[in-house]
Amino acid sequence: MTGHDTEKKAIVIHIELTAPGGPHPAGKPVPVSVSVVGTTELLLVGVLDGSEDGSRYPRYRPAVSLGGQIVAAPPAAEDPLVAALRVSDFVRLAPGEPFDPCASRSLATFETFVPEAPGSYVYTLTLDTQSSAPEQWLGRINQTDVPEVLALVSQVPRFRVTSPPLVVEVR
Amino acid sequence: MSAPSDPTQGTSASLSGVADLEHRLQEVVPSDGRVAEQREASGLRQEPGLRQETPGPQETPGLQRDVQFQLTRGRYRSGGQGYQLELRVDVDGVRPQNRVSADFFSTSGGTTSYFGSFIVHFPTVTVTAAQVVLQGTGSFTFNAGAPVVRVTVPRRTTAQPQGDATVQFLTASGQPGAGYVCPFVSPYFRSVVLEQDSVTGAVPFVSYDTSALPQPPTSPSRVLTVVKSYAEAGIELQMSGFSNIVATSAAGPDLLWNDAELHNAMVQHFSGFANVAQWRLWMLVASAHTGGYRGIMFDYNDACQRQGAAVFYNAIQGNTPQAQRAQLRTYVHEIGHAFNLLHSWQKNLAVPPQPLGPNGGFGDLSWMNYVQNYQPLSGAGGEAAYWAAFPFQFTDSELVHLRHANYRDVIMGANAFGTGAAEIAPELFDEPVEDQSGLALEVRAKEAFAFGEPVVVELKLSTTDLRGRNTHSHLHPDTDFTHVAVTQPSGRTVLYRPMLRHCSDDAAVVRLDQDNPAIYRSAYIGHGADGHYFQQPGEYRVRAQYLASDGSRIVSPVCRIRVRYPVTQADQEVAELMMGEESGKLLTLLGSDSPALASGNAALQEVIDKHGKHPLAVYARMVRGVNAEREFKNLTADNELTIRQPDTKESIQQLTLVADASARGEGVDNITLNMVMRRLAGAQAKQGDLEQATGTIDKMVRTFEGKQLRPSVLEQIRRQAERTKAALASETKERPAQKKK
Repeated sequence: MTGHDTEKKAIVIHIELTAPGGPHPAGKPVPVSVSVVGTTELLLVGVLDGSEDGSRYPRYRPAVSLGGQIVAAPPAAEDPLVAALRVSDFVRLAPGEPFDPCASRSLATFETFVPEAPGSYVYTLTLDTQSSAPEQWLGRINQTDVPEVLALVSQVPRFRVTSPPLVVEVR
Repeated sequence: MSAPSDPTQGTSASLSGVADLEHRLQEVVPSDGRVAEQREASGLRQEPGLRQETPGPQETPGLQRDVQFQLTRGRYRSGGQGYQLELRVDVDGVRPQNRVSADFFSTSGGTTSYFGSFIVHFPTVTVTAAQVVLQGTGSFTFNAGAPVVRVTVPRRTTAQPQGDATVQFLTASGQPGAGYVCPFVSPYFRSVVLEQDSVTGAVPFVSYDTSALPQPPTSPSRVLTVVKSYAEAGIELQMSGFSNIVATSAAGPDLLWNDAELHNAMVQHFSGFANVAQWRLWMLVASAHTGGYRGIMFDYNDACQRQGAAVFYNAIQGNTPQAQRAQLRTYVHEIGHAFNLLHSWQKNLAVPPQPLGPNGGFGDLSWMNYVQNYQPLSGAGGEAAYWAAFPFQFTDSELVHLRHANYRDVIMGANAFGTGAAEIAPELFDEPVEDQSGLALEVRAKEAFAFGEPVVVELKLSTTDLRGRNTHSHLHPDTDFTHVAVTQPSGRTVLYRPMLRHCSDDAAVVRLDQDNPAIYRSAYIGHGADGHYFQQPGEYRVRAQYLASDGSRIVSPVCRIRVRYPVTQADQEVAELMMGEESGKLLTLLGSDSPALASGNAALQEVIDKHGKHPLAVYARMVRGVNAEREFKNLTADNELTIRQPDTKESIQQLTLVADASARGEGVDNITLNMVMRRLAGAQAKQGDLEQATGTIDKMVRTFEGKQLRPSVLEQIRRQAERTKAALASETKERPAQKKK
């Protein structure tokens, strides 16, 4: 799956989910790994407080479905009191360099969903940086260095990309 | 600052209570009904009071075990003048946190103000037949001279009323400090008034029976309301008698609420709203938020935060047990934010940072965790696991915060959400919790200053008492009676310290009444003993405190001042010249010939010479003009006194330009302009031109008449003008005219 930014220079971004091979036992969460790769140098931010429930950017929206029905997805955001975005949250990637956005904060949906019944479960993840205002990236608790952070936010390409479906057989 | 003395030392309250203690213990007084209330506040399961087997060197064997004692738990408060102590004892009952904490309040004149707090972690507990003694070293918000705290609580049976707690402070070497006798107030550690309003069509949550769905065996079945949930934590939510229905039009035409609309609704509908620290909270049951949230503590962005929260009915509605349970959690959760509780995984972001619970906080079984994020150290996580294990309670560390955190860290309207640090003790500038002073203080300034522009504020002291009040007129912050705190854009709060402090021990009584409702002073606070205070662009918050003749502490509301970014190269250059250390001193002194300030004078002259048309040049001209108007005495290294005579030509030239620009609204503030025009008239009179000087004073009156000032202020200016003209005439007669230069 690729994403194309809306700015001058086209950037192709791949997001990929992987899981240990072979059938997965029912009754246990599936350990899903995430990797983001760009074809050019780019600035990204990993999963933050509020990214998963969509209350701040970047949005990382996971979903798990079975038989075409969503069986796990983040609930509506509880509240928007999310932690500050820091300069150190930005990661500059070289072309082709893989990035694990869950290194600092995992995705609770993947981590806590337990497939109880056998079947083919489909895992997907959508990464969305298309905020309508850069302030939608900021936190609401002790947010400092706003000019510096917003300057970096402006360098993150704007795109919305969904991973290819990761199919996990559960037995 | 006339800082209050140490409330742990000296005489603060009578120690007579100690002597009375044993006697009172013998009194048999019928129950006053507080026992039932205490059971409620102590939690779910009523337990007997501290048991005799509690370790302690003074333990008395043989205590009757069938006697039910009052819990050693709850809130006590001393009275009287000087300092009052609100004490919280938490070593008994359900989920005791083994802490003793307290807040000091100072009473002065007609005002009662918060002073400071302390907490004793894990005090030693000694139980005898007659009393419980708790002792430990406290952590104070100020430097306490007697930091060891000993609290004595008489043991009372459940048939007796609670006894007074006695607090004795001790130095590290064991010398007694101050003592306080604190009568019992409540079994709750804090009491907050909760006003809950709702929008048309939204149905507020009532209660949830925890047995309606499976729950952990450690969680007894009970019917929980929001009030009950907090009561179990030892916090009393008193529902106010007000409950308004807010029209949905307040949310705008889209019927969705954003944070600004919520804040505005709070200001409009919260009966107890005030921009002060107070134990009051507003909860709105709204329809929906623009962000689709379940709830929000929306008051996180202004000077007095955490006063309001909202829950969104469209997102949380439902009559199923699951929906009711989730509603209860959302209500308690959002109110928790108003108590300055962060999410379970955010505790380390607090100032100062707090430790995280298991799994980075995601393993907390707390009202403040997210159900879907719950991740225990072992086993499955997520929503189902959370509800299977959640006993409907806060964690222990959250209980310590709710019950014992420093006053300003918990009370609504005080420390910002998630924040508690400051360079000075901000409580010194807290609004008094009680104010009968009859006086009001206001700090005013223009909304925005250019970068490098001298920041001048106007201080206004007025009476709120129609009968009038007498006080002193030492309103300028270069006296010991008025102090100014500046919160810089970084959040650092500093006390403005004048370069020169003017001693003012004269009476200078002023009567403020209907004829003279206020007095005003203009103060340059841009530079002081610590250098420049407004050294970077951004928003500053300024508030002042005035100590009245009767001891009342009058605190102004916050005045916001914005310092703009420089736009042009000239802006930058002028700012650099104006913000040199010596330039700052010259602005404070209104000029000087001191050789030590030569480079400052050179910088100001460069502003005039190279940037004469720049808006900030008026300040350089004012300093040069005022200084030139007066003579300057210089004691040389050889102890020779040289006197530089007034340079009236230079003074008139510079001050005329300042006055003209200011009259057009492009220069200094009104009070400073008043000073400038009188100095200008003085220079003209010294030059021998009394007619021109008189004309300048008359022009001053006309200038202010054109500025639409209040009649009482204008009348003061007219009287001042007449006095000035008479003085100038008198001085001119006594002095031969100075030869025009």
